[in-house]
Parts: sequence; structure tokens; C-alpha cells
Amino acid sequence: MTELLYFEDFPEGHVTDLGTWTPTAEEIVAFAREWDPQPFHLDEEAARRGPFGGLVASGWHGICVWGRLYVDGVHGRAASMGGGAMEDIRFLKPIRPGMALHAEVRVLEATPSQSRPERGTSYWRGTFVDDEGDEVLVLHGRAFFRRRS
Amino acid sequence: MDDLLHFEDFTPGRVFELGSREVTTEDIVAFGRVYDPLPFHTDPDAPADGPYGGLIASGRHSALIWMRLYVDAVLSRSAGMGSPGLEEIKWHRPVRPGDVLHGRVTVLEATPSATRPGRGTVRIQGEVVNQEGEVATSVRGRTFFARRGA
Repeated sequence: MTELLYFEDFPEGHVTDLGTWTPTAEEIVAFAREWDPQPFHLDEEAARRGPFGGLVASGWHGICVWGRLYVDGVHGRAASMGGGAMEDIRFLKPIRPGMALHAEVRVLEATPSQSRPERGTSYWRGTFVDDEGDEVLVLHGRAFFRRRS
Repeated sequence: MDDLLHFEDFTPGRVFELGSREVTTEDIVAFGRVYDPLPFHTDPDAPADGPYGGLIASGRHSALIWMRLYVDAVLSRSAGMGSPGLEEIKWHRPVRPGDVLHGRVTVLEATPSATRPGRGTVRIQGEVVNQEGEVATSVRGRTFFARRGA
């Protein structure tokens, strides 16, 4: 069993590699049918005439998959006490089928709680970066971790 | 095509009621297994004395329910052109099996694009409200719409 991670394991500047997602056209369309059925997420033919000139994933799809990678890489391995709001979410480049998207999360601030000595707050910045090194999706959020005692 | 909602239809203060959706145990578990596999999102028998007092929907799931209602009621009959991002997704109250979420969108600001004359940006506040009238999840973000006649 892997050792549980605590607040102290996520100092400012700490980066966790969360792995890579290569979306297929099929999964882009399947997600969109269920949650975001707009023409440029549903059908290559219709999407070609649309604002993106081809099929693109819902931005929400990117958020959801990044979130799963975060749960696998950090949240599910840590003494987690939940999360706060997500904010400053940017859809910087369209997500197209076949792109290799590398996910990571960086700790921007690590703050021990004043009122609850058993925990601390991590303010993080998450990204998907493509093979050209460009940020495709950026998102920020807060996570609460138990302190090592 | 003139019956589509365009940029000009999103005047600040305008409110769109989006309809409702009931959230079932099966929905919560199916979403949780794929996108948020933590026990309180995937175990139908999550204990009442555990974190969050039993099974609750993933926060991203409740936000997506709002998005789907927004697409069905507004975006699918609009000249929508995507989104540059979201300012904030906030989780105010847990969503539990049997909750009925009602969606709403309020237009906050509408700004014609300075560089692309055919479109404008609409800043919106979205929320889903549960059957007790409490806001469960809120989303603030921007959507691009084509201008009428563009």
C-alpha cells in the first residue's frame, strides 16, 4: 500500500505529473451527447462549418478528465478533507481528437489553517499542455489536506 | 435562422429559466465511477455517519447538470460560438439522490467584440437550485454569440 500524502507533502511550487490524455473523436462525441450537445462537439461534418473548423471537445470534458487524473494522482492518495471552489478556468486552445494532453498540478500557495490546526489549504493551478508546449486548459482550485501529526 | 437567439438577445439582467432534472443514485454513481472515483460519489451505501453524510454527487456532475439544462434551453436555439472559460464554479450545498435541480441563467454583461465585429461576449451567472429553493451549485462564465445579421 502506498503511503498516504499529507499537507506537508504539497509545499509551494510542488508539481505532480498526472499523466496524459489522448481524446478520441468517439469519446468527445459521447461526452457531448450526454452533457454539452452543441454541433461543434457532436458531428465532424457540422463542426467543419462551425466556429472551430472541426470537431472539438467540450471544455467541460477537459475539466472532467483533468479532474479524474487529479483524483488518481493526488486527491485519492492524500489525507484529503475535500475541496473548495474552482476558479479562473481558461479554455485556451480547442481540444481536438488525437491530441496528446499532458496533465499536471502545481501548488501555488500552501497555507496552514489558523482555526483548525489539523488541516491546511492548498491553492493549486492545473493544466493540460499539448505536444507543442502550449497550455490548452488551465484551472485553479483549493484543496484541504490533513496535516501530518 | 432569425428565430435563433443572438448576441443582441442577451441583455444584462435578463433571466432564463432552464427547466429541471431529478438526480438519481444511478446517475451519481455512474458519473462518480468515471470522473470522480471517491467512495462518497460511487458507493450507493456510503454511510450516513461518513463524510458528507452519505452518497453525494460529484461537484463536477452537479455543474454539468446546469450546463446540460443551459444547452437544452438556450444554447441549442442560439448562435452560440463557444466559450473562453469560466470565472468560477462554486459548490454551496451537496446534491443527493432524489434531489430535483432547477436551472437558471442571468445575463450579467454583454460586450461586443472590439476585434471581431460579428460576435460579442456575454457574461452569465448560472445556478441550479434544489427542491428546497437552495442554490446547490453556481457557475459564472462567458459565452460567445454571433451578432444578428453578421
